Amino acid sequence: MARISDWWRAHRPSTRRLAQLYAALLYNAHIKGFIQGEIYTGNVKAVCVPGLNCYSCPGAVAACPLGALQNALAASGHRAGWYVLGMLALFGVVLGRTVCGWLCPFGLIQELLHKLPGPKLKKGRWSRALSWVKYAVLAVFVVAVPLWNGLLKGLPLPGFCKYICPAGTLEGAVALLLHPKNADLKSALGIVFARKAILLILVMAACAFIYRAFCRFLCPLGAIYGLFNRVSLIGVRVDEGRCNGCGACVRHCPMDVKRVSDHECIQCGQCAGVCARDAISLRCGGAKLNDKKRGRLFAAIAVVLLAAALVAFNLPGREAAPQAVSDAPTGHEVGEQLPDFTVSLIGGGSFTLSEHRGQVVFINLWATYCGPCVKELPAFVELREKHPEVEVLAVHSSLVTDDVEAYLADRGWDIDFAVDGADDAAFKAVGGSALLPQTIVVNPRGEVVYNQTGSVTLDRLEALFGEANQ
Amino acid sequence: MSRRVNIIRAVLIVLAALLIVAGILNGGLRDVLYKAKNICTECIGLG
Repeated sequence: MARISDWWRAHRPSTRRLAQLYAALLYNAHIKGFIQGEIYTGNVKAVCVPGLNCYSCPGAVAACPLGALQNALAASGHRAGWYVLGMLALFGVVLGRTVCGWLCPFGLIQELLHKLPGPKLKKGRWSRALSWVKYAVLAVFVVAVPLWNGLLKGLPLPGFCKYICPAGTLEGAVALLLHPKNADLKSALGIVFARKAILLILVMAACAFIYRAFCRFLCPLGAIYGLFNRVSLIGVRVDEGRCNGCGACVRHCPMDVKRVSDHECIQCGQCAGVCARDAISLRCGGAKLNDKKRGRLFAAIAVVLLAAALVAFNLPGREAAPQAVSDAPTGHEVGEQLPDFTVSLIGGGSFTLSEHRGQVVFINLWATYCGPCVKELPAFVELREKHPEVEVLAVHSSLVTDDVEAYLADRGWDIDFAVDGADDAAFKAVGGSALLPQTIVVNPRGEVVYNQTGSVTLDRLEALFGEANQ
Repeated sequence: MSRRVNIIRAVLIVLAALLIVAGILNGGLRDVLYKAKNICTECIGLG
């Protein structure tokens, strides 16, 4: 018993580590998402969490602020992203990079990787120089790429999410791919995933040797929050009256700080432990955050909140059964008879699947805010021009952010378009998920020959047309 | 310095709150929700 208590005393997690674990669990409280291989699609996702946590993670219950910022910039041609800018400003002024040190799941992963045995690279001029790269990443991939593509090409493209973010690759892509239900996603993997996977492996390997390599050199969210560090309400502060300028805090700090609480400081408070003058403390405004009684009350509230979240986000949901046309086996898997559905078409009229028996039908699920969706639609238009006997229906998600009719009028695409109803009848009938784009091909007998998420090319559509006609 | 920091903090908090309210009113909150519910696969590197 004494050995266990000695072990616990030597290994018990610090308050900061507990806060990191808590944040990771709270941000990803939708545990059943990992079991079911599906993302959470509730309304809480309108709220941004402060840390880097991909909203495509099956457990994520809220939005990633960085992903939301890029999408807002991409859409800034028709709507200013005040909400996201306000959330980032609020997190910044209240917490600064305390988010990085205490509330970021990817920061936690990096710190755990650094605990692996092996040589460790000490900071120096080289790391200080590399720490400026994250500002270039912010300027290019988070700001310029979405603005350029959104405003000039009309193509929503979150540059950092698509090309770099290792948190998204690990928490989103890999987590979804690992589930057998999402096996069809593997066929959608290409050069984009290959590049991101290599980058993820490099970042994780680097973290074993370099403390928080991603935070220090690449993270644009840390770059944003760092701008607020000197004015943040909560943060590590130095009592100038006690400080003797020995510099032990800066020497001991594993980040590339020049002084405590500058833009590189992640407010972890490790420097407080080495200050011989007891001049450093974590504060909220002017008050030190070391009151045990208040700390216990705060911890109790936090535990209740987490318990409530774990219950609320994992309650079983109710799914409506699709409407079948005949007694033949119905479903949306390959070989099954797709259930009948009707949608109203933009421009008038309606589409009912059963009325197109005898034709090959291509159904594409898309959204105006989905870059690859918008990019592939011309291929469907071209397919229809080449094969007028084919029926092509593009169904926009019921979640609409633009005037879809006006959007289409600008483009002159000559295929049937519809917006799914609030009951998501069309999406449900074809087995639509929250991942876009998705293409479903139905043969003349009404049977599904293809139903997959991911982009398609004209060549692929031609091949599918051939398969459906066999 | 401390007074100046407090003023900057107060201004930023008020500004953040105003931006959030403006964002809710102009549909920005709904945009964040929809893009978090319907995820484009290439946007998370699945492509």
